[in-house]
Amino acid sequence: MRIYQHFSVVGFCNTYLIGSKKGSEAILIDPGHVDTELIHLIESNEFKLKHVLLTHRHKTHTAGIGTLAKIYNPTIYASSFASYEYPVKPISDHQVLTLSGLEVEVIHVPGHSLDSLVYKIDHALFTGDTLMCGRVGTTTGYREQALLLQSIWKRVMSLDENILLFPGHGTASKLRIERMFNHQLLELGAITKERQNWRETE
Amino acid sequence: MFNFKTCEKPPCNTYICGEGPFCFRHSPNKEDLYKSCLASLLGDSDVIDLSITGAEFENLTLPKKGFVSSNMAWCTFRDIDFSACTFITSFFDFCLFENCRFNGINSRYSIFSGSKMIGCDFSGSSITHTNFVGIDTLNCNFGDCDLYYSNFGTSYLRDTDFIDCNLKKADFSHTNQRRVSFRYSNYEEARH
Repeated sequence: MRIYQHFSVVGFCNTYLIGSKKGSEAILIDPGHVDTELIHLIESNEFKLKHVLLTHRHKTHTAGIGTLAKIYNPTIYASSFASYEYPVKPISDHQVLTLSGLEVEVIHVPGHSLDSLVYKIDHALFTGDTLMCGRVGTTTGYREQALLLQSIWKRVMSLDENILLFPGHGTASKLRIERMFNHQLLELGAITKERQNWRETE
Repeated sequence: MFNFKTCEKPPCNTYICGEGPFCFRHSPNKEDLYKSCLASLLGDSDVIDLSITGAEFENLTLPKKGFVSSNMAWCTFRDIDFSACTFITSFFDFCLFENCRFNGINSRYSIFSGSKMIGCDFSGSSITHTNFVGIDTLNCNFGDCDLYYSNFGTSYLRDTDFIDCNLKKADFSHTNQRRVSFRYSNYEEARH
């Protein structure tokens, strides 16, 4: 499997291009912005872009869809919890898709947004804005933050710690690294646990 | 990307080395694997999709080498010259780097997290989108580096210089710093 990372200064979003080999069908995750560099990446590998996966609805992760649709007309997959102005194939938690010869596991990790999805392809995890290197995604309130932390611990941190992590913003990582050094995850996790214990002893 | 199969020796779940079913540490033909790895490190072509974990390398010069989608986590590097090398989506997490030279390297989307770096020189390099989370540094030099979007969060920095660097969008949050210099760098533009 080949994974190419593309960074765009428009929205500072990471876009990932995944294909099994040169000339094969390919998947694109979170086209935040489509520029000539991304097109060159697709074309130089002779990829046939067939599928686009969206981690969530935010503009910084989806703004390039229009351009891509005009050039490649790919099938777009997104959470069934969100609605879009263009046709998408709704997907939900625990679903396993076979796209471009690759098995894609869909994991629902709400908190940053209700429709946040994480995609697991082999030993690579594409986390969007849920879990990033050294921090967790932003939330709109304490309840959403608690939900995000709970979802991350339950659905993401329970996976093999050797898994590679490719977030929507910032640098790539591994689950082991986040387990050891993600300050927000460790600190906020302890606070949430404390709150829970406090409630239980009431 | 390197092979995602994990070692067959229970309970080890490290990524395998070469084609075999075992990781480097549990491989019965460790010497052959080491030799072939050394050959690819010293050869003319770039290191692509290589995976070797927990190996030790000493006194090597790897000029203008490209490391692409490779995994060299848990390795030890002593007196290695990585100058002018390129690192793209390569994993060097939890390594030990002792007296290594990284002058003029180009690193993008690579990972050095959890590594210990003693007497390493990264000066004059372009190190963007690179993960240094949780590193321990002692007597290291990142002078004149472009560290755009690189993450040093939760790291333990001692006698380390970041002089005249671009730190835009770099992350130094929750770091433990002693005798660290950010002279002529835009530290205020970094997250800290």
